[in-house]
Amino acid sequence: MKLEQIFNEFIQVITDHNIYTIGLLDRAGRITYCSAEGLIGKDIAQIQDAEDLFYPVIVRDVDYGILWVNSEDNNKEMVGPLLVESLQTRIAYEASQEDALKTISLDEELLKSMISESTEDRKKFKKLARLYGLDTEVSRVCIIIKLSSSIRETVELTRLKFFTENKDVLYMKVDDYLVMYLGLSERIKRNEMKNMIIDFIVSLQEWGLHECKFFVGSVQTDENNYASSYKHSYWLYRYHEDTVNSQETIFFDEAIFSYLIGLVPQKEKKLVLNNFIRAIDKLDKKEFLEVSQALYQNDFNITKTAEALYIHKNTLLYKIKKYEETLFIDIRNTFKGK
Amino acid sequence: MKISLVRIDNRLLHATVAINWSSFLNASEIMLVDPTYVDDPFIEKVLQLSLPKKIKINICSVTQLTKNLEERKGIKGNVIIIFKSLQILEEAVEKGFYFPEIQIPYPASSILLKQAEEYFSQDERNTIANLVKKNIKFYLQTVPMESKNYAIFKKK
Repeated sequence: MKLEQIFNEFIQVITDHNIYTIGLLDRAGRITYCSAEGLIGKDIAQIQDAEDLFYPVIVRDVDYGILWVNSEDNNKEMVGPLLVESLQTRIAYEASQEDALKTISLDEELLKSMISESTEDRKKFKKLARLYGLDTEVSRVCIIIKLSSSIRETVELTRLKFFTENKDVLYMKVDDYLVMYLGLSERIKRNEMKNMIIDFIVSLQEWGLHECKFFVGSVQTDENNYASSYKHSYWLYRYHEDTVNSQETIFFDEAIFSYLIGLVPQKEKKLVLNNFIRAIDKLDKKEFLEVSQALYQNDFNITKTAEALYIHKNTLLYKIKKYEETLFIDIRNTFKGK
Repeated sequence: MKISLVRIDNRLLHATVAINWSSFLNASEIMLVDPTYVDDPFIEKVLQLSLPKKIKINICSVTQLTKNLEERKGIKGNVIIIFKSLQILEEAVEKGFYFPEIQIPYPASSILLKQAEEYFSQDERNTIANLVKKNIKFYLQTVPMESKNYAIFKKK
């Protein structure tokens, strides 16, 4: 507890005002800090006069000494209580921030073992989960939050601990992002989980994490698979960071196909897709990629895709027809073609 | 700037607000509406000492409150507004201030809570009734972990 630093701030204000003297006394009456430096170390009994007021400073049952206020100002009976209330509030605030930091360190220890897939860390996680009373019967989802530069500079992430306290949330900061695990109540139906996650993210944005990107991993019900949720959210973060706009959220279940394709060895992909690759060589590849991406992002809605590409609907339909004839697939009508 | 909480509290700024609410809501500013200390920069500085400087404390009158909120439109951040009394809140509402829900800390243990008449004078109950007519709800809540209790303010 940086009591001296806090009290020096009080001394600065008092010194600027110039009609008060304040000091902090220990229980023996010795002046430990004082706006009049020459009095530090002296016994208050040696200098006491009729203008003195004394207020015990006790916060969370800890005795921080006695606030001494001296002034001829008529308002000192009003100012004195304000000073001691402010001092007690500030001490309590700083103490709560220190407690939050300690809790965050414990969370970090737990999270580091939670996201790891090594056998040793699996064992460590189970032990720590028991020690910290973490409910491992609960479904959990990992969310990686890419912090914007303004958030990194201005938001005190310790305060986030107060916001998430009752929400079964663990988090830790890694470089410029947060790794956060959200516990999902078993009473929630599977199809409601996504809405719950979205609501939670909105509450984080309203709290102050605006202009951040959110990468939501898979929901895992088995504690042995919690690490997979992190793996999936980290994959999203690595491969989609540049395509996701600020304040946007992307869910792993929207990118499962890409993830699974990524797991297939390159050689195997070439063998399977050889014919398609040869056919695409006959097309304008850049245009083909742009049209494919726009179709995917607009859920294969022709009107929206045409608007996104700044082309007429008929032009788009002409291009799609050309792709269908070249690749021998039905893009507009079947899921397989898509 | 977004108003995250409006509270009536005759103690204005104390530990519950400073520690619990300011962190829970990530407040960057706390406005204390109390004519007693307005235009006294020394008192404002003393109250500011309750919290680190990055959380600004501002003592203002009802008129200054309106001006402050106007000046802060478009600035990112969360603000907590604390009125010293229901009467000061009513004055602010009459001058155009509006917030849909007003928090009042529990006047007693939530378990032993009695009727509104036990805690609010007739004048205060009249003020509450007038403000309810203007679509303002009241609820009891002291700390963020408690749920909001509207029951005591509901008409019987």
